[in-house]
Amino acid sequence: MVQAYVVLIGSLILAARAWRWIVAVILLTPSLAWAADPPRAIPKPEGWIGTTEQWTTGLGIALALLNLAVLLVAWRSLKRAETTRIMGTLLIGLVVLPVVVLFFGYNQGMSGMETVRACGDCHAMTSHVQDLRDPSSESLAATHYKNRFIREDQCYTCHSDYGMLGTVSAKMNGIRHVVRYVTGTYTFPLKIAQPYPNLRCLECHGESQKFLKSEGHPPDLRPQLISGEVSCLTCHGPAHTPKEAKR
Amino acid sequence: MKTVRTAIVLAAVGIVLCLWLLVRVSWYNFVAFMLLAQPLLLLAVLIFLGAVARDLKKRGVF
Repeated sequence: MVQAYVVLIGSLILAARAWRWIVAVILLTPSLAWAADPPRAIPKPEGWIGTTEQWTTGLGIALALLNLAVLLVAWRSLKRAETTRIMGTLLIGLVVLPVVVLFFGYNQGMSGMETVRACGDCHAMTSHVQDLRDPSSESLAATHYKNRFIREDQCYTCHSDYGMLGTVSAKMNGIRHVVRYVTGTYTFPLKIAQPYPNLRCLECHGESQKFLKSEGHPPDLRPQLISGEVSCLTCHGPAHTPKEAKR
Repeated sequence: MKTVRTAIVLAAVGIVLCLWLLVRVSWYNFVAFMLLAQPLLLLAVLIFLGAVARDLKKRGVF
């Protein structure tokens, strides 16, 4: 972490002293990537340099700062030159870099919206997230969370269908949730909009030996589980045990 | 000149909103990114292109 700040300050000084923007971005990216690395109880393996996501975040921030610097240069140059004279700077600052920054913004925004923290940002979901994170809770969601049966983005993983269209559908549902939250068109206790599909459970558990060899899942029951005629939650519920939430 | 300055300001605001999202994601800045940053950046590009077209016309390029 100390390294990160040293490189960050060094690159900012460099950026301030001269217009060596590319060098500044190259130096800024790793420092911002390291800064984006959250502290964890378990030490990282030898040679750890962060995840792709952290590097993407670092590069995105560095390019956004570069974009602001280019716009500042263009603003100052406008005093001395006509539009066509600084066309290159304006083209980079107003067209090229914003497109790149938007791409990184989409990447960061879309993946950021899948985290448990993002789900808990809405007041209405706070009690669900508290239950999820409660080590003493015996709900199905808490069991998956505390044992890390799902490594990260636990809400999103269970509440989105698999595949590309599953992601699109989950994002559309997310937008609907935001609209209902903002307009206040929801009531407690919160209920799932449609019955929870067993296929989401079976995608992970369906081919595990624990599932296949369990007496609770005899072969003649499987068609009913696959069709959704019998819900997994009938035996394995409740999914959530949130404490009563109030507006 | 004034229109280009407007484009620069709009783009700067849009980029600051993007930067906010990149630093820390929340519903608030994600909505700001989707509903404000993108239209602002698009508007900046359109204003810039308009200024360039006017400048070229003035010089008799087309």
